[in-house]
Amino acid sequence: MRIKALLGHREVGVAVALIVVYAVFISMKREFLSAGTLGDIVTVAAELGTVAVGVSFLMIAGEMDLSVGSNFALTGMLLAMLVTRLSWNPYLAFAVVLACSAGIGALNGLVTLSARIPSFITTLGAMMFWRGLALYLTQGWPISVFTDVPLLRWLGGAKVYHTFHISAAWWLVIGAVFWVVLQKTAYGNWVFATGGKRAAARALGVPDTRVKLVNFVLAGVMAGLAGCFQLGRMGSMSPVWGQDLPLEAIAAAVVGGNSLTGGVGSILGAMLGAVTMASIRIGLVMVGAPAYWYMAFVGFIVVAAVALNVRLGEVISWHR
Amino acid sequence: MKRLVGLMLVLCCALVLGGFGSATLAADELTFYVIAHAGPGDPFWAVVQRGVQDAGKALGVRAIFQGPAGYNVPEQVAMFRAAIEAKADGIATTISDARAWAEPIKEARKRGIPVIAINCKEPEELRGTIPYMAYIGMDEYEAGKMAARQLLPKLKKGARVVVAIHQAGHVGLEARAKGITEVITQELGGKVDKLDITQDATQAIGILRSYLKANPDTAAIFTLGPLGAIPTIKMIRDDGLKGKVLMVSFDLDPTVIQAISDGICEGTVDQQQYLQGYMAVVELYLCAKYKLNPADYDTGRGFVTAETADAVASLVKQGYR
Repeated sequence: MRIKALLGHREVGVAVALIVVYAVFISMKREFLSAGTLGDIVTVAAELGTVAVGVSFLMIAGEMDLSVGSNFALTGMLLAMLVTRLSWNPYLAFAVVLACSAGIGALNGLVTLSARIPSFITTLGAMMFWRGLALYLTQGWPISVFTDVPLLRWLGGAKVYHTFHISAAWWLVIGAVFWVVLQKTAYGNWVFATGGKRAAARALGVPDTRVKLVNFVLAGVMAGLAGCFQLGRMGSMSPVWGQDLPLEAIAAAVVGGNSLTGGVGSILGAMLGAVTMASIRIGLVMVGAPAYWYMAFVGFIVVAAVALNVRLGEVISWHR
Repeated sequence: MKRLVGLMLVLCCALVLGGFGSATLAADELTFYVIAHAGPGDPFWAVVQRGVQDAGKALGVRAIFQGPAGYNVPEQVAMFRAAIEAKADGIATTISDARAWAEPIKEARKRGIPVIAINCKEPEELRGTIPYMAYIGMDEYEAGKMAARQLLPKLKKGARVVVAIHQAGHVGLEARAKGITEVITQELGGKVDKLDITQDATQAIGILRSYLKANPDTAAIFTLGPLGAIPTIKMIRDDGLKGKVLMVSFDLDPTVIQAISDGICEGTVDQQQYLQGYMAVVELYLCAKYKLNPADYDTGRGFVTAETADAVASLVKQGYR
């Protein structure tokens, strides 16, 4: 019975995928199982995962955000520009750029909800628009911060242990907060209800429009924050970085048991999804496989993990 | 349920082992990584990859070329870190971002892994901030000087030339322009104008035409890459300027090679990127094996002229140039 209860969790699919990925890579390259490698994986996962957490939260409420990659690049770039070219106080600049990323999210929400067009379309447009603006602002050039800015070290530059960057710790904190809000609060119930049966939720007095709007804003802020993490870690931000991010974040979310149509999902699952994808990225390089295998591998994992989840769902409901 | 998990496991293993089973070889084999900021989907980097693989075969070592699908430094850094964790015997990388590379390369060196820079390096004012052991690539400034010297015998004393820059502010292009300007002014006593022709072909032709109208004594045009060369070649063809205005360019491109064969363009500087892959592996191998310190290697000594254009065109097709 206990096993059945365990199998009922949405994270099972991704957990199995992660174990398989680890087993395969360790068998091919012993060094894959080391603190240094794990640190690299978690560091890559932290930036993708922060975006994925925001996207999952929005997906559970039944909406989508494809503009997270552009938001990521624009926010990181604005922070770099304000700190270097305009010599702003870094903390003030940080607050301002996060407000900008929230604004991008809010705009996505307002347009989607008031014009009643699918968020896929709204955020597809937003993705192109903000990317274009980012390219225009720097004429395509990356912006680097060469001075020592403590804020950037705090965001992602500092290493806490071995190859573990501080951004991974922030990501865990963010994940925990979102998990608690989703699982333990009334707001979390509203999110599930809004994405599940919207009409029923509305009849029960759930402010579904407001919930969606708030989640759009949160997805935007998470994307911007991830951009700041990356700027902190790399010291540079280019207007062309983060182009694959929206699809990678959605892939991490669905691998982790989030539904594309909303109503169900898991923050922990999305985080494990991000770790799985980062493991594939690092692992393929370590075994010396051509980098293009990454795409193929992720594609396979997405379908396999979701298929496993669906199958499990059927088995569980059958035996109930 | 169990069957499904089992099936997935088998499928995964089959995919991995079937796809690149040859990846797991003897553990004591020397392994070198060459990591670029773009992958072999880009024809330029496909040539570098060729060089890496050929060197690996020649030396009997594992030489791995890696690069993200598009220009993506964070992904490149992640690959570099993975190579460190894989305990590579040496890594070559492009310095695609002067800020982002200082720390990863410091870490690799701290862990005893030799690192060589290829293709591009940090700008002059930051020299010495990134601890790679040697640079294998074109010296942009020296390449500019060489391009100008190729044309010296064909120019009169005090001639006027124009340097058409298609991306003003680009560190590499500016260095090329500086090399050209120095040679023309100092060795020929000539006049050099630098012209921002933008990356837009239509605008470029317009800007060049009005420059030539205002300065009919212009003897030669230097373009700094295919983006500048292609509109210039078109203008020379359209306006019948062949033989009246000489032209020299940088980098290989089918249009440019054709123009060289046709006598419109005197020649183009080739940075011979095959060498950047090949020599990186050779130097890392010698460093790992005999503790020989890697040395700088200037690959930008190639100059394609009408005599060599046909041979180069076929080598481009074969993937060596």
